[in-house]
Amino acid sequence: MLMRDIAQALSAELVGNGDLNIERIVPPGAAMQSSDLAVALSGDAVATLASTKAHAVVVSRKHASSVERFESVIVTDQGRTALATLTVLFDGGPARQAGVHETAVVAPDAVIGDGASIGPYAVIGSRSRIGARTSILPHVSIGSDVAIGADGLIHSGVRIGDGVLIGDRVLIQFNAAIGCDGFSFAPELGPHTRFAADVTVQRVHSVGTVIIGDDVDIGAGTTIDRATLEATRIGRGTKIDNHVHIAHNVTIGEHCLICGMVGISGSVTIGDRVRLGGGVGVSDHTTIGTDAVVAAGSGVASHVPEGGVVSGYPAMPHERTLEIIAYLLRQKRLWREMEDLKVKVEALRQSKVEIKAEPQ
Amino acid sequence: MTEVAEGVIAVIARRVRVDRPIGLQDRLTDLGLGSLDAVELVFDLEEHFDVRIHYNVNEFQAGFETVRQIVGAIEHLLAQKTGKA
Repeated sequence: MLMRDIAQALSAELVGNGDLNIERIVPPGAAMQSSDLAVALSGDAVATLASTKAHAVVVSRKHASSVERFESVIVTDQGRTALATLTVLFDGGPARQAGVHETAVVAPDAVIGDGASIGPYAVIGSRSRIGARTSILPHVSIGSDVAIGADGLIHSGVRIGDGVLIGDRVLIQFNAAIGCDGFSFAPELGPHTRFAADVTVQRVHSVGTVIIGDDVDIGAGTTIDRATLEATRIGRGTKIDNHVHIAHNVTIGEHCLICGMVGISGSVTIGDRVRLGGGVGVSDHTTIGTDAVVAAGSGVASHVPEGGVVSGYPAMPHERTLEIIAYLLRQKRLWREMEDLKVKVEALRQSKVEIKAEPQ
Repeated sequence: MTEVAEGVIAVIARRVRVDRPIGLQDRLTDLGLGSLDAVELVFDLEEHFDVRIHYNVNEFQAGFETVRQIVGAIEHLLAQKTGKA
């Protein structure tokens, strides 16, 4: 790809030779030849440009003056967004061929869209529909009555249960499982109530489904349970990391970021643009408001308001968590001062000074 | 650089990973310190200088943004302590 075309794709300024052909994007230190484009969008990367062998470089506007010696330079105002666009340009994606591989098992009444790819040993159930240009990689199993939109990419080992609905341009990474039965049992008990000794725990079957909006990413090993009666929903544009668990009846809004190892219990409602840091746990039937941020490792035990920033266990406003940590850190000093006081009181007592109690 | 400034920088240096000297003009955020690091830093400083820093999240963030501000605050606290003693 020519530097001119890359600059155009980034809507960025090109300085120097636009005809230079680029084959790889690399950090400055890894550039080996003129066809390598050194990506120096951070201050740290710019610092390594002095010794790079690259002829071409992409930098942020604030570093434009430090790259005058290069044959071809792209100057962008977009920072990390430019990096996102660059990686799309140079990511060829996994190997795949249009059409249905001879070892795939596709139900006769399944509908495969134009240009879609069904890889080796994939299974597509009855009445399921795979959208145009969507790639189903090897060893994916898709149940019956599933609908997957156009331009999706379903990586190897993904399991999608019956009746799950998935939008356009959805990316599902290795071994994700969507449409599992929910962890729901009867009788339902309050948090501090014990089962009777002769209890029989009955499974509440999940007869609902999962509905995933357009442009959603689902990470490797992530599991999404189907709803008891209706649908577990993931809103448009939401990105979910690896090893996240989303339980039955959960509703997640649009453009959320859910980091790795998050666990969301049943019937939780999450607004739009919410960010959950790594390892966050969310208790069942709680609500997390739009634009809220939950810090990594927090345990959400009650509702989080719109725009709230919470942390800790149980999760509470971040400022309060910091104050509590401050109290805890002060304990050591407090006890030391207590010991000093005890010594002083004892000294006073031994000097036979009468200490009168304050009148009540 | 004063003894207090050197002490403050030494305490901060234990919490940050930058491969350059820490200067008075550095902001805690530039050194990669988050709000949680900052709370712990307060108590590191209390231990190191044997002073008590008034801690309130909002006030603290406003007055403890740069290394220079922290040095100023510690010098003030040490002066108060000496005055009392």
